[in-house]
Amino acid sequence: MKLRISKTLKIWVDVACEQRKNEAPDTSKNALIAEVLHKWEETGDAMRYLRGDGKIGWKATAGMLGRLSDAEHEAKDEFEDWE
Amino acid sequence: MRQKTNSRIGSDASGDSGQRRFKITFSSRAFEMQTSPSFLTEDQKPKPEIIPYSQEAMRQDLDRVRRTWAKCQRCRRRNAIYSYLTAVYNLVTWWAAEGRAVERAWRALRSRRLDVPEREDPFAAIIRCTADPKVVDKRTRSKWSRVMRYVARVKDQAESLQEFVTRRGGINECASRYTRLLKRRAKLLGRKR
Repeated sequence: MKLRISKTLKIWVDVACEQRKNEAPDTSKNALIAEVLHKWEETGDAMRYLRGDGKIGWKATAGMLGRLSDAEHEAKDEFEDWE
Repeated sequence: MRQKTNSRIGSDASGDSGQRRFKITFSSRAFEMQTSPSFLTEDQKPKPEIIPYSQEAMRQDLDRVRRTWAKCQRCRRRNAIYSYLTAVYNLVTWWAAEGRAVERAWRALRSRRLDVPEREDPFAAIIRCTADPKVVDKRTRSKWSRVMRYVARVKDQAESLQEFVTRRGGINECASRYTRLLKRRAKLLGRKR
């Protein structure tokens, strides 16, 4: 089972998998990724799409990208205040 | 239109089960060809569902398309409609890549408590689920659906829907091209029989 995940989404899927790994150490990496993607698809954070090669890929939705961008700005602002 | 008549004849056929089976197969295959993107090879469709596509996931996808519709209605740009058509097209093509476009389009209609006509193609069904029926009447829906079926058959995946449609003369021209294409196909099928 090969899942094609966009770069940005992959970073956050890996983070979520690491967190889940501690709760379910016997679950395989692929199963964890599938679990995360399934959940995020239901919450509107990840979506499937048809790639240029005709295969189905996964990417972060505009909603998730917006939230990530906001969080990045907030972190930058906090860092500048702290400096 | 010939397909519709044929499938009706097929289901009404008296006793000739072989003929009936042929008619039904023909009509469903023709339907699949209308919705499957041209760049997919036979072994790429249909795929088993590795990660189940739940009702909630579909709701999220339809909501996104609905938001695109609302956004394009607020926008005054002449080409704003392409963002909506692209959203519908993208959703249906990945469904089609899994070989589940028809089944999911019906599911989407049922989830919105809309009637499920058997002959409606997935593009038209999703337009009905996501666009305002006061703005998009039956004729417009049919035209947009023909455009998207034409795009799915002819367009290279690397090119965007807007670029392709604009290059081919616009929405009305693409809809007419698809009608002509269907007529040519029907003629060819008629000759083979």
